[in-house]
Amino acid sequence: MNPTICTQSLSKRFGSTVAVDNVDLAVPEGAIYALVGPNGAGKTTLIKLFMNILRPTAGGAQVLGMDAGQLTGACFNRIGYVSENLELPDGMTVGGMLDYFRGFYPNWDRALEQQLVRQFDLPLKRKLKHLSRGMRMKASFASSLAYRPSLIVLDEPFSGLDPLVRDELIEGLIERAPETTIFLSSHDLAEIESFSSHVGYLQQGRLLFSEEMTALSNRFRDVTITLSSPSPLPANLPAAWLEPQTADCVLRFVQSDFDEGSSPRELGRRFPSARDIAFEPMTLRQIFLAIAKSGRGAQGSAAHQGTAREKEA
Amino acid sequence: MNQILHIFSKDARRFWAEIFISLAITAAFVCIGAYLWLGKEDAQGQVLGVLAVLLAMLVPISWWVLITRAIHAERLVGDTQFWITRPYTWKNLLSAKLLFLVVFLYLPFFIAQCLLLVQAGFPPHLYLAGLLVNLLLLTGTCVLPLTALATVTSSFARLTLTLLGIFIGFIAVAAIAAFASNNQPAGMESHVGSRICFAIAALGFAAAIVLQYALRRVWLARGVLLALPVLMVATTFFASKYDQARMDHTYPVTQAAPLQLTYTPDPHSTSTSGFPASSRAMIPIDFRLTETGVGEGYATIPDAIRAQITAPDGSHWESEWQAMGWYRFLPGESHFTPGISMPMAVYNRFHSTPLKVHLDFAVTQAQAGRVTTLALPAQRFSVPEFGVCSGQTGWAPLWGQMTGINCVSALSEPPLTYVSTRWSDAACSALQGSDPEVLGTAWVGSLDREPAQIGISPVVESRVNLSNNQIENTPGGKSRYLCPGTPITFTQYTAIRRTQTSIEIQGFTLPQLKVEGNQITITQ
Repeated sequence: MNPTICTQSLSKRFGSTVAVDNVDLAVPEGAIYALVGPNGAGKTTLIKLFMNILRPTAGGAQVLGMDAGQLTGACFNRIGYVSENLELPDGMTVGGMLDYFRGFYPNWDRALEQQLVRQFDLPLKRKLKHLSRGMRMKASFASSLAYRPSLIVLDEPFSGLDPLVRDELIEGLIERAPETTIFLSSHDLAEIESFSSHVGYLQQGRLLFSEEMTALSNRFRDVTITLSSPSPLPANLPAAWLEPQTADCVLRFVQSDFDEGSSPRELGRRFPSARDIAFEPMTLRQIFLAIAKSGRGAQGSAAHQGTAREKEA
Repeated sequence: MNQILHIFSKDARRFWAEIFISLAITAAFVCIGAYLWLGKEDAQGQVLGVLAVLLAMLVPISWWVLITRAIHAERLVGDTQFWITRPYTWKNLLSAKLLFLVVFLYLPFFIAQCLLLVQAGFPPHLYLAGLLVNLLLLTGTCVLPLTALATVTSSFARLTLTLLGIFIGFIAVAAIAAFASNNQPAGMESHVGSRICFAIAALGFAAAIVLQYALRRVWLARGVLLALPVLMVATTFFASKYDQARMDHTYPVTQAAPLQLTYTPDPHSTSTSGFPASSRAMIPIDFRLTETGVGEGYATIPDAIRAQITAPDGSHWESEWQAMGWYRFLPGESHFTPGISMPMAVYNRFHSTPLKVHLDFAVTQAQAGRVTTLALPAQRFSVPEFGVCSGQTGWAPLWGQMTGINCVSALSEPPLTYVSTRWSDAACSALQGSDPEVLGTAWVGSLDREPAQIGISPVVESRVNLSNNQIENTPGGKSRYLCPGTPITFTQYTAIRRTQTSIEIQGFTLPQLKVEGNQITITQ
């Protein structure tokens, strides 16, 4: 199956600043792909590159089988794009905007439009410039979903929204999921975890890993080893052990290459005097915090393993 | 096409207020634009005349707003606009904006121009070519630059600041040029250069617009716009050099000169002129000449002068062709004082010795054509192939008396025409059968007419500055009168050949020059 979005060594520089650095990414068809990373990581730039809003400095991308550089005009009949920074035609009413956009899309679904208007409780007669941020985002969602795009790209769609609006948008999005591929960037990890199928982590322009959400959850464990006597932090710990720390008889770290079959045995051999070894599953938030806090070397290892596993898959 | 109309109708709905204001300004200009050329001297006429001038300025300002709003509705600068990830095609978007300009800018303006022509007494269908040329000129000098600037700016405020910057830059360059060209000779007007400059500017602006719509590469488009002034200055420079080089071809030397020149110095007549001193100062050198030999039915017009100066020691200086003033010679003898500008360094080299001066004149010989003589009507009157004229009435105590005539023509100045009539020193009511005796003459128009000269108003006022219009030739002197019924003659001339004529002056000494502080005074 061809990936819906595919990038090869995609890079973007702004002067001496590297915003996106050699990113190889593949988003499978039908996936809900969440691109996460701290502020300034390059998420928006990466999206703008494969949406042909910005031109790459190096590398290339394909979207829906088309070269991203050729993505213009009718290509956008199949792509929905919503961004927190997107400027809407503020002088128009919500209804006016939907009427206007309807004229561009041959596959615009009027019934779906009306359903989305009801679902998002959109005030059709109010001008966009008079809407709250949440309402503007909902209007933007409705105008990008009503033509049943094959790909929906969302750039920080939930940023700054209240939980109620967020839930409404996520609900609207999940309803479209069976018929489309969704790519979204966010640092709102809790929401993403609940519905994303794939996740990628971008830091300082580099994609540290990109893999299925279940695979990611399976390979990260919060490991607590209770030793029989107080012990300093052992030397030469594996790079895949993030944030190692000791307190009295307890050694804690985040294992980024956990394997249910081999990891307990391996740790048992390494710490023969351990009284207890506990493996706790981690939330997405905990995983990203661990990655973000850990050193560059450890991250490299995490990234390496993620990429390796993805290749195997 | 659907997408073009879709975007167009959106813009039309969205900018109805701007469109309404622009149309209202254009309509108001049509209503009172005639006061630009009617020359009514009463208070109401003067107020409406000022209002018409204001409206003539407001029309392009309303275009500026209209163009900016339309282009910025889908602005091309930035990466957060809603439309760049929608199924717009750049050709449709650009076409929609052009359609918007055609419908709400060009069409109303074209209609307004036709209505103004009708008001002035010119049937518009006879001037379609000129109307279209005027639209083309306005497109190149106003619409395209504004559109191009709108495509490379992100908001009305930024465009306004950009225009302000360009305006200040233009003034600064003009000031520097004026300072640098202290008393420089008037260059030959280069039709080739100005046409190439216009073409370069229009193409450059159009290229920037298309580049922006097709690629949205702001700095590339800005680069094209920034390169334009440089290209235009270079073109002007090279075109003037080309024209200088072509002068002998344009004005070939022939055996039969259309006029004879003699040097007629008058030691009792002197004139004094002053100008700021500088190392770049150009010294004006005048030559008192007499011309004869213009044939009956002809006029001769000197267009340019070139001087070659040779000193007794053999040292030599030759000027470039320099444009001449408004001399027009008819049969008979007349005196005139052409001049050349000489660099200060050359003056210093030659001023102490008698010189041999060879003057070349580039002249155009024109032949009289249509002659229209009519008894001066009290009301507006039409002169075939010239324009529409009307009497100019003066203030009290001349109230109701004709003290001159105003003429207008459609889209461009009339063909070169010699106007002659007779003045009366007394009020016309007191004339009682005797004919007025003082001759009043004027040259109006041009030999090299364009189909249209750029303007918001399609009606061009041609000033008929009749000679001898005052009894005493002093400021505020008493006016003479033009009486209804007095014969007035319009003689049109057309160029038939261009050639050169020359004169050699022996023992010419350069005028005395006095430098006081930073002022040069020259007496000759």
